[in-house]
Amino acid sequence: MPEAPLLKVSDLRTHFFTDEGVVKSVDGVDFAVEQGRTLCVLGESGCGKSVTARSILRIVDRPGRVVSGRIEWRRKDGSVVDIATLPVAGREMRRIRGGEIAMIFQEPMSSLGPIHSIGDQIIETILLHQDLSKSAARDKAIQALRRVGMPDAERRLALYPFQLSGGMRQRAMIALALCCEPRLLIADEPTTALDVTTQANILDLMKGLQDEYRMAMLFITHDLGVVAEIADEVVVMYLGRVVERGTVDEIFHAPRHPYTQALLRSVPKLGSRGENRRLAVIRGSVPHPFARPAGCGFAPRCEQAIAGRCATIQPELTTLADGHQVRCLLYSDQAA
Amino acid sequence: MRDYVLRRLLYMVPTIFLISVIAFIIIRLPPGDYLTTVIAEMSANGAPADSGTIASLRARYGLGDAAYIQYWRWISGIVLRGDFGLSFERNVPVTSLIWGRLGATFGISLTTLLFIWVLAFPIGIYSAVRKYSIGDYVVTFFGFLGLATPNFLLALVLMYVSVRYFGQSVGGLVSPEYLDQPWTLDKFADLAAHVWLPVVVIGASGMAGLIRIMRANLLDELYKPYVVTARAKGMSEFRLLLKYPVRVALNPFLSTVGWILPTLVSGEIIVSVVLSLPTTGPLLLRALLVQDMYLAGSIIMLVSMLTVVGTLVSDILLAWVDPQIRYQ
Amino acid sequence: MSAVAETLDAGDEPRIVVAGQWKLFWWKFRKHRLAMASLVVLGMMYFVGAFAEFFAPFPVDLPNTRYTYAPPQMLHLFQDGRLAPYVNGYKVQIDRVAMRRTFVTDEAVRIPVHFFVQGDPYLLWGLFPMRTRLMGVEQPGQPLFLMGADRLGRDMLSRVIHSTRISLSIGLVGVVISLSLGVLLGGVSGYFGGAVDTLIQRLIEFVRSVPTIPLWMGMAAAVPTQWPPLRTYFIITLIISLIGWTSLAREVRGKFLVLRNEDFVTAAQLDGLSDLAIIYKHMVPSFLSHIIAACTLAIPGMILAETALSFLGIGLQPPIVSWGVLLQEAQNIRAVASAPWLLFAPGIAVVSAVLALNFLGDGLRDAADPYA
Repeated sequence: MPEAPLLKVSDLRTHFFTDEGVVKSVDGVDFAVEQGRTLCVLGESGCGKSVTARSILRIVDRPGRVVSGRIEWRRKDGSVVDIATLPVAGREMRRIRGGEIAMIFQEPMSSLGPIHSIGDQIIETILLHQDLSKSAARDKAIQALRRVGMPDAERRLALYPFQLSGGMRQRAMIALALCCEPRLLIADEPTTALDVTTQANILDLMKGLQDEYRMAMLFITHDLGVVAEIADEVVVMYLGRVVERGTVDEIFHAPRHPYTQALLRSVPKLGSRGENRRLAVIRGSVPHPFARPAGCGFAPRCEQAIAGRCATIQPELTTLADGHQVRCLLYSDQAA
Repeated sequence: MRDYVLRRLLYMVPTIFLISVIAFIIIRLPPGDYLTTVIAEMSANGAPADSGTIASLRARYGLGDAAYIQYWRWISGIVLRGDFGLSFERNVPVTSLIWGRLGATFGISLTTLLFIWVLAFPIGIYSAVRKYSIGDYVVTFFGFLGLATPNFLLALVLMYVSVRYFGQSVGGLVSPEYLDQPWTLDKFADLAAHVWLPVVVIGASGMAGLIRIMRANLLDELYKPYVVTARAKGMSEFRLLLKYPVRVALNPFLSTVGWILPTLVSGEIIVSVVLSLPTTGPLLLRALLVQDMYLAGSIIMLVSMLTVVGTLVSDILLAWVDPQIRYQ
Repeated sequence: MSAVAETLDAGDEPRIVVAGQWKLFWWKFRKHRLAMASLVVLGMMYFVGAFAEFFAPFPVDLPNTRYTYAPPQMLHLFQDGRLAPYVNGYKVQIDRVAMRRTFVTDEAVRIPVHFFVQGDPYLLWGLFPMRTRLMGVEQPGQPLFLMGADRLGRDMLSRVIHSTRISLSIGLVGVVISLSLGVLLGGVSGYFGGAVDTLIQRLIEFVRSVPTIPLWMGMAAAVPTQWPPLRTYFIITLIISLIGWTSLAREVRGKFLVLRNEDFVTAAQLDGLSDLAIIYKHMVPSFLSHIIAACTLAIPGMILAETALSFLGIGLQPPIVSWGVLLQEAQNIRAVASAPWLLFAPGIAVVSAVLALNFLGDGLRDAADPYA
């Protein structure tokens, strides 16, 4: 029997209960992350990818709540625990957070506490999860900072976030996430707020560290370039649902879902000068969360929509012959 | 940090000068001067003062000179000899009357400051973390009520309640039997039994303001990304709350001392009049009513200056706690 | 859910796009229920204060020696099933131990109360001769003390109504003076910046760092007691405003600093408009709503300051009555113990006016950011 995946998310739904109504930010998400592999979650802003990431650690802010689904996490001893059923603030959940699954965020400027030194914040994390003395934790923190390529780590330990540049802050953030050697790292657009050179450096660093620690990564991004660089598998999300799931090669070379296809067309390609001067855009915009279409979420913007069907029928995730999954009537009709 | 302290000290020089000028203007403000009052009183007693007596009195107090000369004589007396002038009414040096009372005013004001900080802090945190809960609404309701009730009115109401329902009057800082006794443990206990009332009364509106500030500051911080980071590290909610957002919200909370201390001193003065506490309040009011202007001016000046100095000291202490200022 | 979506997508957005500044302000303000209620309460208070002579059953200083410290009466509207308002008379009991008169309600005596009654002539606002009052009794000397009577047997209700005029108007006049100072100094500070700004900021910091009550006391005590009431009124208001202008100046300065760098101001400058024209035509209209909110929030401070000074006996003096003057008479705690209405009638008036002004100010401030 093959080993269970490290993380298996099935039919995850996270809804926000606001005064104006229920916002279904995540409404049916399935994917799995294998040990040592990288899964990219791709989507436009507002598609629910960040909420998905936060749901896995159960750190969704109120009034949001995981309402259903399973988040199966394989622990070190091989036992599987459903994170979705754990008490949000319980000891077991806290042990997983930061210890087994770590997370880094988009804004290196504001994601570190502003009035504690970075050393303090890293050492604190180590002491939370490991039974070490203070000085041992300090050594470990210095090591972690060195690993992320921070020069002069011993001295920088005492620095405050406002004394570091954006790139250095993101390195500190990564050191903070990796100091307890997690088996899964969730990265929520970690390079979006950085300039392009720093972006490349950070991505290289993360790839290197992934190999070194043999950890899995769940990488959240809207940037196709980042996906191409780092992903093994890709999940495409639209309006809180997974619309397509496959390997990085399949997604880039044989996209099935009209949304993925449109997404890829909207990226400029090198060497395609002349044939197609104007970049394709996806017409319309993401619908308001309260004004969700009844059928397929993408139907109003889809160029291949089947009149009378796509607007009313909610397609299921269909597995194609090659194991590729897609949520679209064009394919489920074929399969049926 | 050293630059910060020096700069603040430097800024204080014109402030203190301005305070002394204003105090002097207030001294000279009443139409006529103390002599007019004396002359009026003498005539009322059937012994009108002759012009010779008046002239000699005038010369003695230097009331005929130009304003800036009088100011110079007054301020140099204070700075060089610690001479604040004479209380006309009691015919004793001002200094002999005010130091003890100034001490009491600041003792009560600072006690009140600590009291409202200590209480407003947890209540503000609770109110922010449990936003829109019943507890939050109760706190908000009393907060608005506290802000809307003048403290002397609150003092009167509490006095009324005490007389009406407990049959005893409140007031003073110690019971009459301890008045001239040396300080003992018993007297101290007695002081503590009396002082809570003025502290609560003076602190009520400031506390209401501070709770609102703490609540608003913390609400600003609670949803910041660094809180999510700390949560994602696996910290418990309580430790996380205290170490990160509360710690950040603490700085603007504590820096309220800049306006809260002047407000408390103001409140202390008026509440002391109502509760007849042996502080500067009743003395100042009495001095103003009989136009004993050197006494009144000295009180106004010293109360203002000590407030400014107190604010400065606490500002420096707070800057020292905040790394963002310390390292600039 | 689709209904919500419709109002959001089809309804609100185009409406918001075309609506003018004041319309947005009003829409947002209307949602603030507490502020709306406060607006109504304050409207009523100002109305009653404006027509105090009409609303008060008696002139402010009319003593009635038979009824000193008479307790409040209950106004009965119906008599034998029909509308015929009356109050009960008093029976006097002598407490021989305490040597004190006490009043008890005499159910047997019914004194009719009439609405829109013709009484002693008076001058409305000191100008217009009138005789009509909102309510009154048939014969002079009959007791009508809905809020009790004071030590001279004067009707507390009438005194509170007359005080309302003075106390509330001091808030308004004071804010106008403060605002003039604040707009002038804050505007100059924010518009020109540089050394002028630094100087004015230092001044503001200075005023704020000094305890206000002693300063107020020092200045107010210099006002001669024999001055005519109107002059005292204005000088006290001026003294209060002299210290209260700082928060308004800060508000104005802050807005100026933000607006100074806005494109439409630069455009006006490039068009060659004078500084004054830019300030009045372009800048002031764009922050007027904020200023209105800040003013509303400044009024309670003024009212409380006047109340405090008058309470200490160095603010307004009788025969002018304000809430503070009435409270001064409640300083004698022994008298208050047996006649609590002396304290509570003006006290509740102060607290409710200040509360309502705070709520209203909060609502206005929220509404001043219509897009937030």
